[in-house]
Amino acid sequence: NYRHAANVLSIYRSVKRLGIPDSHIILMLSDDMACNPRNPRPATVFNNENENINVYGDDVEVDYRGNEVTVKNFIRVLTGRLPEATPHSKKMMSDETSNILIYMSGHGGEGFLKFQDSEEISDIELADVMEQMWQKRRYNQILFMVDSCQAESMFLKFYSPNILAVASSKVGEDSLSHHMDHSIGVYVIDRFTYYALEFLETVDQNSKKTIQELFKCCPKHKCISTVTYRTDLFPRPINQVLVTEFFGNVRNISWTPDLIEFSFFDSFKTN
Amino acid sequence: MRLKNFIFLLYLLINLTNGLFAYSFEEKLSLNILPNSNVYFHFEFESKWFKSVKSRTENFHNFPKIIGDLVSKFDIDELSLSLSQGKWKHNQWGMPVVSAPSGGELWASFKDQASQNIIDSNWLQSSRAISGLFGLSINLEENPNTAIPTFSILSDTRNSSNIRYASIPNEIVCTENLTPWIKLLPCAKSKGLAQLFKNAPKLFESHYFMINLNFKRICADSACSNFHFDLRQILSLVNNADLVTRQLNDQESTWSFNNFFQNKITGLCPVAQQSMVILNLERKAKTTLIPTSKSGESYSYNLKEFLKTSKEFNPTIVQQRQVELSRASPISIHRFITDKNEINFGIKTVIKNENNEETSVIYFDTIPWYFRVYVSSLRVKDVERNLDFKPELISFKPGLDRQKPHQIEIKLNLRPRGVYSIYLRADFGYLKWDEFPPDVNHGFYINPVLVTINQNGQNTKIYSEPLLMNLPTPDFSMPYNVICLTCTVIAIGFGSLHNFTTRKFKFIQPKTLIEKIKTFFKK
Repeated sequence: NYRHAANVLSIYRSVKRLGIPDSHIILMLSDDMACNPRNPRPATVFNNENENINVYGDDVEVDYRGNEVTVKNFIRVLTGRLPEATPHSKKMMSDETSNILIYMSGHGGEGFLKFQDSEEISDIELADVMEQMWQKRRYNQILFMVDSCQAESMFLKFYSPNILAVASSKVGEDSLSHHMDHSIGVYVIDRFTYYALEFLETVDQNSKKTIQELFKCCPKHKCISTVTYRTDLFPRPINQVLVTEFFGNVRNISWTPDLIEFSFFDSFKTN
Repeated sequence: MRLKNFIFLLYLLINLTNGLFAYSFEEKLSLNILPNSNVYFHFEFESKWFKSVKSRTENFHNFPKIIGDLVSKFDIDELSLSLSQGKWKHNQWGMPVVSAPSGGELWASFKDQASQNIIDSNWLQSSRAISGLFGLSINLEENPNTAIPTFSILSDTRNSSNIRYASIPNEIVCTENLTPWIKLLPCAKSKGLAQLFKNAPKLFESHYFMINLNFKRICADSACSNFHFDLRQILSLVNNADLVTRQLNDQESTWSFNNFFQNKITGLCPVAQQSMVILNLERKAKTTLIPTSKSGESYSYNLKEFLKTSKEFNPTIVQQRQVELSRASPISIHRFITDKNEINFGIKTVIKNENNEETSVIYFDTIPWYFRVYVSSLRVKDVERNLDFKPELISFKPGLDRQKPHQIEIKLNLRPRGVYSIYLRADFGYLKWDEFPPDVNHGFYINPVLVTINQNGQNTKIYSEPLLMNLPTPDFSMPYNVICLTCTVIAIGFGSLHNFTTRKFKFIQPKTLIEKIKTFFKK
C-alpha cells in the first residue's frame, strides 16, 4: 500500500538526516508509488496530509525495487550470500562491529509478514536468519522494528544475542493507519511509524536520547494497538542505549594535547 | 636545484595543457513546437574524454569515472541505455530527435574477444552493474531476454556479432533513476542547463519523459591505440503548455520556462565549452527575448554570452495552437494482438510507408521465450493489394526455454505509400509455478518492435508499442484447497476405518423406559 512505502521512506529520510550514507542503506520498495500512473502527484510520496515533505525526495536510492523484492533476496542480503557480480549498492557489507537497523512494514499476521501479495516470510525463518548472521559475525547489535498487524509474532522466536526488537502490535491485535489524504485518496502513514517519526524529529546527531524513549513513544491511547518490545536478548539495559547507535552515524572525535609516539619501524623490523 | 625546479615546472605545464585538451563538455537544449500547445524539450549533454597515449595514468578529469571504469573493465565499445515513461505519439508529434521504446532498453557492443562466451559473461556482468548504478531491476540471468542481431543496424559502425540487445518493457523510470543520471554531468544540477532539473516532480508531470545514455569509444586509427570516449546524455520531455499554465485560449498559449520547470537558468557550468539553447519557433511561436544568432526561424541563444549581461535565462514564448507537424514520421507502425483462441494467438504489425518514394526498412523483433512462436505462420502481406509479399531477407533464430528469446529480423523494401502487415502466431507457453511474477494477472510483456529505416545514408529508428498478453495462470489458491479437501477425506474415510478397527464393540441390552428414568435422575 501507499502507506507502507511512505512508512519506509520516512524512516529512510530520518536515517539519512542523522548521517548514514546511501552506501550503508539498503532500501527495498516493492511497489512503485511515486511514478505510478494513479498517483495524482507524480514523483512524490507524502507521509502527511499537509503534504509538507516529499519523503521520496530528490536523492533517494532504491536498491531493490519491483519484482526484485522477494523473500529470497531479502534473506540473501541479510546473510550476505549474494553472487559475486552483484553491485555494491545491493550488498550489505557488514562485519562484527556493525550495528544494524532493520525496519519492515507491510501486511502481516501471526507468524508471518507478507511480501508482494504472493509470498511470506515466517517468524521461524527470520529467527534462523538472525542466527546465521550471528554465526557469520555479520553484526554487533541489531534493532528490529516491525509495523504490521500482529507484529509481535515476528520477533518472538528470535534466539540470537544482541537483538532489540520492537513491534507496533501484540499477537491478536491489528496495527492501524493514522490518517488519510483526501486529495490522493489513500491512507498515508501508519500510527506507530507516525509517532516514531515524531520522536525521531527531536533527535539529532548529538542527541543522548535512549532507545527506551523510542519504545515508549506511542502509548496505547495514541497507537490503539499495544507497542511491544523485547530486550531479553540484549546485554545492556535499554535506558543506556542511545538512539543514534542505530539511527545515526556518530563519530566520536576527541582532541588530545599530548604527543603520541608510534613504534612504527619496530613492527616492520620484526617482519 | 634550479634545474629540478625548471623540470618540475615544465612537467606541470605539460600536464596542464594535456588537461586542456583531454576533456570537453557541451550542452544543448532544442525546443520544438508541437500541435495542440504541446512543447518538446530535447536536452543533450556531450562529454568527451581524450585518452592521451603519453600519460601513463588514467586521469578522467571531469568525465564520469564510474562510466570510464565500467567500459574499461568489460571492454565495451558502445553502450546505450534508454528509459522512458509514456509513449511517443508519432501521428500527433512527428519524429523525435532520438527514438526510444516504452520502458527500458539496454544494448552494448563489445570488443572482439577470443570467444563469444567471454562477451556473454561481460554482457551479464555489465548489465548487472548498470542496473545497480541507475537503480533498475534488470537481471538478465533470471529473465533471459538477450538478443544478438544479425543484420539489424543498431549502431552505425560496429561488428554486429559482438552486440547484445535487451528490451525491458516493464521498467519504470522515476526520480531514483534520474538522480544517478544527473550525477554523471560535471556540474550536476547546480549550474547550466541542468538547473532546470532541480524540481523532479515537475519533470514527471509530462506526457512523455525519456532519459538516454549513449557511450561510444571512437578510435582515431585502425589499431585503436589512440581513442576517445564520447558520452551523450539525452533527456526528452513533451509537456502541454495549457495544462501547466492553467489557461485556455482558443488561438495561442503563453508560457515561460519557469512554468514548466519551476526553475530558471542562472549560472553557467565552468567546464562547458558550449552551452546553447535553440528555439525552433518556425513561425508557430514568438518570443520577445533577443537571440544571439538567428538561422531561418531558429533562434539560438549562446548562454555564455547571454548570462554575461542577464541574471537569468527564462524566455516567455507565445505559441499557436493549430500548427502543422514539421517533421512527419516516414513510417507509421502499429502492433496488436489478433485471432486469440485457447491455445494460441496472433501478433500483427502493420507498417505504412508515408513517403512518396521506395523505402528500405529492417524489422527487428524479440519475443520472450515463453510465447512459442511458429515461423511457419509468418505472413508478410501487402495489405492494399491483398497479396503475399516476399521480403528481401528474413532471419529467424528460435528461442530456447529459459535461455534466450525468439528473434525475427526482416528486411523489406516498401513501395511508396504502401501498407504492409507482418503476422505471426504464437502458442502460450507454460511457466513453472515459482517462475511467475508476484502480479500475475497484470500480464506478460511482448517487447516493442524496432524498425530501422535507411534513408539517404541516415539510419532512423522507430519503435512500436509493447504488448501485454496473459499466459495461462495456475490458480494459486489450489494448494490450500487441496490440503483442506485431503484432510477432510482422510478424517472422514480413514478416521472411520481406524475407529472401526481399533475399538472393541460389545452388545448391550436396550434399556426399558423405567431404567432410562432411573439413569436420568442419577445424573
